[in-house]
Amino acid sequence: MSLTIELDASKPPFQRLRLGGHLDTATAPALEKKVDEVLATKPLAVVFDLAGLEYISSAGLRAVFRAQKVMHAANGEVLIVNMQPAVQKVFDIVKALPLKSVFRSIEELDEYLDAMQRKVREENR
Amino acid sequence: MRLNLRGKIFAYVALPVVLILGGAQAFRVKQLYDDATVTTIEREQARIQREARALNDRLREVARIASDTATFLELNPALAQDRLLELLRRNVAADRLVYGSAVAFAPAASPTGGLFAPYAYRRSAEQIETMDIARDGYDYTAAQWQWWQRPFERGYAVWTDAYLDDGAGNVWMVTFSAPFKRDGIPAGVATVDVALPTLRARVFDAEAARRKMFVLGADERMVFTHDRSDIGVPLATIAQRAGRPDILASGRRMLRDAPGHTVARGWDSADRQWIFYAPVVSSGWVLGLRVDESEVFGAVRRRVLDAAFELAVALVVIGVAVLFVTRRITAPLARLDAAAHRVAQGDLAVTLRAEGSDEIARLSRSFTAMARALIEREQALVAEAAAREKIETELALAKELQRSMLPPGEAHDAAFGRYDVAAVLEPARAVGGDFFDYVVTQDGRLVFVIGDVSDKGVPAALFMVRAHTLLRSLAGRLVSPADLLARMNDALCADNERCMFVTFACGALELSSGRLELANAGHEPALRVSRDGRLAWLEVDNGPALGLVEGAPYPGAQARLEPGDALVLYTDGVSEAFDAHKNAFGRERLEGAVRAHAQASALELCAGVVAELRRFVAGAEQSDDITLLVVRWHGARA
Repeated sequence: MSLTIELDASKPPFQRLRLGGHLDTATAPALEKKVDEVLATKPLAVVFDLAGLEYISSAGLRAVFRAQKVMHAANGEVLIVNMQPAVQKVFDIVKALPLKSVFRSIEELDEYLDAMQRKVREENR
Repeated sequence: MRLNLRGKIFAYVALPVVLILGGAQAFRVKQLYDDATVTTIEREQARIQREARALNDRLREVARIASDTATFLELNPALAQDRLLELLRRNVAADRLVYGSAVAFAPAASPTGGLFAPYAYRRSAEQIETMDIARDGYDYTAAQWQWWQRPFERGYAVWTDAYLDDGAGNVWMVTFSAPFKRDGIPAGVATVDVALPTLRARVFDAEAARRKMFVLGADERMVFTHDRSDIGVPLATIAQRAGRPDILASGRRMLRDAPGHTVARGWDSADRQWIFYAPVVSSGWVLGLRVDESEVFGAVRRRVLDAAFELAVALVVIGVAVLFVTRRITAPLARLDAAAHRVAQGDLAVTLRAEGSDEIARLSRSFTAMARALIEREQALVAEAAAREKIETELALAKELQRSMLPPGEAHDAAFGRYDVAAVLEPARAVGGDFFDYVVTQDGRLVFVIGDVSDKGVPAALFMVRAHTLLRSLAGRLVSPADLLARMNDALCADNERCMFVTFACGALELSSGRLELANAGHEPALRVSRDGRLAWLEVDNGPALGLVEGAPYPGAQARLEPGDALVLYTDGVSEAFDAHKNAFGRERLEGAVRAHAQASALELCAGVVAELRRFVAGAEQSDDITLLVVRWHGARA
């Protein structure tokens, strides 16, 4: 099984990565490489859209946590949306995601991102 | 037709050339034959006519002697007898061809009043004799004597046919006989005889003899031939003798149609013969010449042989050339072939000589380059295999080392029989990130842990060593499992750029009471099983997996085991072991397997679950490390 990664950079300063297929030991390095590219652009937030992700292994979790760690260090955020039940279960077991970074739907996510953007604008003013 | 390269070049190059050359030669030979035929006919025809004219001229010279004598006798009727003899003597001497000369009188006009025929003839080369032919009662007026009958009755001079004169010299001769008159009445004839052997000797030179000349008389009798024996022999006899009626027919045609030529089976040989013939007008003869066809075409035959020889030489030259060229072409090909065989059998050290820049030379160079490339590839493969073997050796050593860090897969409470422990660890690769451990603390607690490092292989194994070492250093001063997890988490969060993490569960069982403390860091819950098969998942308020969230709290939980209860801990390699259809083993199957061995020892329960798992995956590739830890408490027996 392979992993598909789709990068949507149409709404800076947010970067969205749409993942599909299997994220495991074999495919995790590809995601890590992509994440490094994305992080290099210093986005305000990185969104993992997991709507198409069917399976995630501990290697896949590690890739997500790593992105989260880097983003936190830079005062950014990693947000996750559209988690499928099977994937949700894995994340639940490991219990390492802050509750506020997980969104059930794109609408919720967009709302949050809008608020975030407003906040940044006000801070810059 | 199966041809090798050499055969094909022969067939496509040499054969057409030879065919063209052969065709040209055959055409030339045909022309030579035609030319030779025409020239031979023209030459031999001209020759035979010349010869016939010469013979005719000689005969007319001789005949003139008789004609002159007849004229003289008409003009001098009263010639004395001795003068007459002298005249005849001079007639004989006049020409070497003349054998004899006579004057024969008709009895009515005879000076003697009867038969009278004075005759002079050559007795030998020098001696000329005279006689009277009628002296011995010889009646020359008889019908058999042409020399008298023909001119006398016809009234003009004429040559006789050849005849054997048994009177004077017993010699074959022909006679020219000219009539003369007295007072307007036929009075006799004047003659000259020509002996045929003499004529033959004078007319036929050696060449004519060699070329089978013959003279055929109007009476179909051989006047003479190159062969002495046939003088006077009728052609019919010769034809009969040879059993060849066509010879007679052919002779008659010659007498009728001269001059001309004809081709027929030879008279005296198997070879075909060309006969050229021309008339001897005055005597009514035909002069013939027989030529063997082999002689006519001898020159042509030599030319044919020459042509064949040329062809053979051309063939040899072409053959040698083709041989040379094909050797130049096929020798490198044969070398290539041999080299290819050697390469096929694994001998790559081939170098092909290649001179020049033709296709074969280029191919040879490419082949050598290919062999070189194969050697390099092979060396690279060998080096790669060696490197892989080295890694595998190191991994095997690492596996051994990793396993030796962990306690044995089975343990009992030898002194009091309060518990037994069993564990199974099967890495998906040589080394893995799963681990378990157990230890009895000094205050009488059995502390057991199970951990699963994120990912697999060497990185996971290294992080496992880090976590396990940390565990061992902290376990001796254990306060509670929750405290242990918090301390380990903080230590593992430090210097963890790659965000490796361990899901980890820890239990501490008070052996004297069965009181159990549990803590869980993102790990699968433990399953409790009673002797009677009741199952219970011991859900604990979970903290995050170790190494991810610094300062994270691990609440922990408490429970109490009944004597005989067992705890089963496992990593997700068990619950997520897949069969060939991608179905996971799952918690329900695990429950079933555990329930089935509820009363067995820890070791048997552990082995039973693993056996069930094996049966389920049925040989499908193992994707994750599998670890199972079973702890059974038998009660606080003294």
